[in-house]
Amino acid sequence: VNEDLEVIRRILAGDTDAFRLLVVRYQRPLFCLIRNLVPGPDAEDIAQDVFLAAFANLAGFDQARAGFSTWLFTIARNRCLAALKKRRPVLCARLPERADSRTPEAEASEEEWFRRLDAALEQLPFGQRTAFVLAQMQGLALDEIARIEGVSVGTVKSRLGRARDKLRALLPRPVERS
Amino acid sequence: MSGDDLYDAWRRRGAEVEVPADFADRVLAAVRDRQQRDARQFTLRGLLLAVLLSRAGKVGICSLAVAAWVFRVLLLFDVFLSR
Repeated sequence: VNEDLEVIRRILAGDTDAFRLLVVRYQRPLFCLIRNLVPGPDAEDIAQDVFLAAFANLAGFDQARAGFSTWLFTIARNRCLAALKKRRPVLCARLPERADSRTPEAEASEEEWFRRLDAALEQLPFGQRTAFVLAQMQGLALDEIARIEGVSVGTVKSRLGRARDKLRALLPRPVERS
Repeated sequence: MSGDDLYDAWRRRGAEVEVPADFADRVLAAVRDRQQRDARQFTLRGLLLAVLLSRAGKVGICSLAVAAWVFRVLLLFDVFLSR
């Protein structure tokens, strides 16, 4: 965190190249979030847009309110939501049905299961999807996710639980809560 | 593979993303482009402000406004005089 603040101080003093350090540090988690929230070819453009917005608004970053990563993820979350709103809705969108282990579906390949889970993740409400990706794929703490989402920790827990339940229901047998 | 294993493998796969090698370069290039564009806009805005705030600029703008008003009045008279 202190390293981020030092880099931000340098950038605000006019050292534009120092911004590369922040980009390199956060590009991977940001790509992970964006790719899982907005699957498709737009992810890279959105990621670039997020970093540009962060650079343009860096003077307004308030370290007392949140860490830089939280602030950056909040920008990314908002950009993803805006990108999804621009997209045309998918007709007949619904969750894949639960697999029956007595049918040939049980023999589906690992890749097929992954596709089903990807599709199910895509169908989750945005709040549940964001909570799930940030918590289960990126390992962020619940209070940090709550700050990013602008909701209470209880709401994040509830969204996370519902998301896990929906995804778990697709699998051959229930997954234990972690 | 059990449901638990599938679920964990899928979560791990979701967390693994490939970032283009030149992504940071492209972001920095875009940042510099924006800085240059902002600088140009700032220069234009500064020029406009300098014109608007200087005495000569104010006189010039007022003269143009008066000339435009006179021209419009003449056009109005022309409607009646031409009949």
